Amino acid sequence: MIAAFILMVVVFSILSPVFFSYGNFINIANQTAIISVLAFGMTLVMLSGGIDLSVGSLVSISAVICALLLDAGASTPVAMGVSILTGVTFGGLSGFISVKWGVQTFLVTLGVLSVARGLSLVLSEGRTIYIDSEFFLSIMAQGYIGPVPVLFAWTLLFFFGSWLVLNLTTFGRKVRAVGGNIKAARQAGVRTNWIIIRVFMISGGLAAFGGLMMAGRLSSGLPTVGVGMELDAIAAAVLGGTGFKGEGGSLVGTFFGALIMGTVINGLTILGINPYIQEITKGIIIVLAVVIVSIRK
Amino acid sequence: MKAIIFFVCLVLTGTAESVFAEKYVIGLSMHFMRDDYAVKLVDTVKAVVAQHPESSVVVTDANATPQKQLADIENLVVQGVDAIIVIPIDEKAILPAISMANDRNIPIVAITTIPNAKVLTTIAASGDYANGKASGELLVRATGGKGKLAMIGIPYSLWRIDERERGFMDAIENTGLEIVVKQSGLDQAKVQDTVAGILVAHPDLDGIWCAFSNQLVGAADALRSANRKDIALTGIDADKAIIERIRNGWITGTAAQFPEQQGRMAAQAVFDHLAGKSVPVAYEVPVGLVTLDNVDEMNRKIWGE
Repeated sequence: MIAAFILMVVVFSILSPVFFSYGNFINIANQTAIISVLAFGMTLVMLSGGIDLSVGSLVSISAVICALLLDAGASTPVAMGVSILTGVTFGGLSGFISVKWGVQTFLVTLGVLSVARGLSLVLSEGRTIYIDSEFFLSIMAQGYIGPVPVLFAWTLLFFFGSWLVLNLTTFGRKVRAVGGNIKAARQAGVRTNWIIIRVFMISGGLAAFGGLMMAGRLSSGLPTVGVGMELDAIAAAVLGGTGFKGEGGSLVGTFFGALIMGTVINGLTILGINPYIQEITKGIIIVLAVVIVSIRK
Repeated sequence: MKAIIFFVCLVLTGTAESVFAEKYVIGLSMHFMRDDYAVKLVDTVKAVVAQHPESSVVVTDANATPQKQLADIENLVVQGVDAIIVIPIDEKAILPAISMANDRNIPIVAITTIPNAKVLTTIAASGDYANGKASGELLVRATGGKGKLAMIGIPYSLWRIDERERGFMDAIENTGLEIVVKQSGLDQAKVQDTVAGILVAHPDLDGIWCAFSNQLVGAADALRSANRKDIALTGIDADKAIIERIRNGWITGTAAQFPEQQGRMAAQAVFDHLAGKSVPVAYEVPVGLVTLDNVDEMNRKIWGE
């Protein structure tokens, strides 16, 4: 996966003199940041054997709530806290409904996708809510830490955070156990329901944080933002080798999956390729990657 | 994985044109590329650019997603294009990218107004308000100035659409027309269903106003299914599907947008500026109403066919 990413960078760099430049790497980092954060959560959910279709809508509801609160004069930590809590609550609710009544996570989160989208339209009355808090904008998206854009710094933070959780905690091992064989996990004494609920809370929280990053990037809370992002997050996880039945999967893979998708679109745009062709290319790359993963097995 | 790389190389070598050895590279950031207006506008800009040797155009498609348009403009800026023509999908969300272009002194030509943005010039600055008003006045004439109206907007707020609605509301103010139902929808099929529902709920409806193209087509098809030619229908945009329905009598009339004219003005403004000529801060495009009386003439004017 990493080799593929490097090769892709090399190819684009040969074809375009501006691709391999600091300015463009900032673009790629910024443009893949939000998808990456969503995809980390999605990877955990998929490893536990589920899927979370609500993350794109949670991005918008979080962005809208934060923008409304900032507009109403709330402090930045309060606005951010309420937004993240909203995401965690929606995620927890999806997990709870799924385990309590044995409903597939696909169906529950499909419903939540619609509820959260509708709610963000209701709360914002369909308007774009402009954010003028320089402090919020600079810590969420538009600032820099040295040469590193803050959006990418958040991405790295969440990458290491979720990597630690998945690989170095008992919780992480239990997530894999639940996804691998839920009955066996239950017999081994794992409280599988609670694990699933927590995984969805993490995914919802990460999606809400992605919403804050989005609000910072666009300087506004948009009720229409994030449509279809759940599919990009799933695609990044799948490109990184995560399967739909909890098999495979690593956060490193997911990270590079997101980077590859973002880099393809960035590179094709820079080369002036017809946008219709870009869509086709992105789709073919996803299908090819999945085919390769299944051939390897 | 090798196959992916191979494929990417294949696509790149097959379709990439070297745009970097050229004198001027123009970026065209489209809001959306899936209607007649957008396609015609892109074609026109390309045609103007083709008349200038050693120049080229890079087109991006935001596919109606604000964050994609933000990324598109950032990519154009980093690429070092000489000017960017923007048709915004959300006027607020792209402001960070516009200021990034301002920082690099890349001139921006906006098609329709982008409030609070520093731009070289704006094409059809007051077009949306004027089109809303003209289509509203047409509806007043068609209904005799009294009766019940349905209004179809979009499910969220966009400056351009808000301006059209404002023009429309101004046109029907102090007439005997009353809005009895206000609904929203973006795609043709959804609006068709919505209007079909409205016709059942309000059988005594006299007129319908739509904010943009897909809605007009959907509403017209709902009227056709219900066989209600007595209801006047007006709105904005003159896609080929709308022209067709005006000919058949299902749409009373529409305030056209002129993608050919707008695209030509935008591209010409860019080349004038690059050649050191001064460019006005705004270009106005007059309203063009399309009705059954002038449909053939207007069709030629808008689409050149």
